[in-house]
Amino acid sequence: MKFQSDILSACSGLLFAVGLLVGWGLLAGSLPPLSPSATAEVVASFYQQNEVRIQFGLGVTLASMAFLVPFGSALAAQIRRMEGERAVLANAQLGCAILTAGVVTMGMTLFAIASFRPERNIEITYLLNDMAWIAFTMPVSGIMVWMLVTGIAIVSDRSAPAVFPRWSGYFCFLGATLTAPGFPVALFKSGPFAWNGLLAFWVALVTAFAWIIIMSVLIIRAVKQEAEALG
Amino acid sequence: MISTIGAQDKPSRHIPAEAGAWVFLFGDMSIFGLFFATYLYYRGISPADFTAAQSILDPNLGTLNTLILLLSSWLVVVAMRALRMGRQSLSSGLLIASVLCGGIFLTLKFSEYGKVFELVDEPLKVDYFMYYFMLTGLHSLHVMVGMGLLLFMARHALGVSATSPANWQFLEFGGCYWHMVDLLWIVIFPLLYLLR
Repeated sequence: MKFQSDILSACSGLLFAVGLLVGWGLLAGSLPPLSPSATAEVVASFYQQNEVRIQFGLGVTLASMAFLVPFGSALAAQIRRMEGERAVLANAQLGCAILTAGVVTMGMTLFAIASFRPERNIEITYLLNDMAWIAFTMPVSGIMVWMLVTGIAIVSDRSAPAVFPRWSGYFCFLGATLTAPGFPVALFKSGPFAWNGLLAFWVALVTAFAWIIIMSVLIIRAVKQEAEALG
Repeated sequence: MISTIGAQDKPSRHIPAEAGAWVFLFGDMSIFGLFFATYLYYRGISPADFTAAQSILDPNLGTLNTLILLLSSWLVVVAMRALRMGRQSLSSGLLIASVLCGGIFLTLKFSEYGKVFELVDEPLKVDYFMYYFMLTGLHSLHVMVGMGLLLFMARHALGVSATSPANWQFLEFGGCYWHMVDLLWIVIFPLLYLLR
């Protein structure tokens, strides 16, 4: 099979998503999130009571973070087909993939540090928990611009047959809009824009996962079409 | 051969911009819908607090903003008609005028923000104002993006291939986007200013 590494790379985006969901979400028990309005006692006792689960879960998550980069590279290969040699958007897109992986890695590492000495002064655990949540949810521009440049590449593609269906370009714009509401999380301790809020957290998280899954499927389809066209 | 004639005769319905664009437009509107529902839910829990906080806003200013956006939407419609009739510079001028309406809208909006910060201590800690700032703030971001699109449209309207299918598709998308911005405001305005 031609372009096998493209297909493997496209699938690696799913490894990132599963690693995040299973490790941080399920094992470390971060879904649903601790509330930003919870007291230091509540936060510290969460880390004390679930010490090993959290530490192990974050290990799983942190091991899977960089799998987002091959996914970005497979997407870059398709975007290069759309825009040709200069590949301005393909490069921008790959840079944003790396930035996104870096941002999530940073947030997850802070969660791991928070879980490292649960017996410490509760105020310090409180601070580390704040750091982790804000580092994870607030720096939205990496993923937002990632979706934006991908969308621009898709809707500007005038090749026939188109590499990606046009609706997927508009879906990228929607994704960029829906991942943006994380930017004000430092302002709120409750409500839809807090770090556990409907818009800043749930909608953004579901959008990011849906985007990775849909893009993986579209990359694999486009690679197969490309291979068929080459015979 | 004969059997296909019927199918071809069937008039195809025109979707403004393109079908895919509505993934974005409907998606964006649904999320605003979700946000409206959240606001109404929390408002329902403590209606008196919301109404009290709301009373410092001037509904006349909100009405003026509504009229300005409606005017700008109408200008975009006329601009598209003008372009279809080949009057490129008129069309471009009308689009610039609608950008100016957007600018007036934002100026009024931001002056209202200034007033709120003057009259209320720590408005972000008041639930009503949290929703007020986030709803109008996200909407204002949409207005800014829309103004950018309208400027692009004004430039495209002057080009030699202004009415080529690809160009027309972009112009229609920009128009639909601007109408959506208008529509969202028409919902936000009563929710924030008029509801008692």
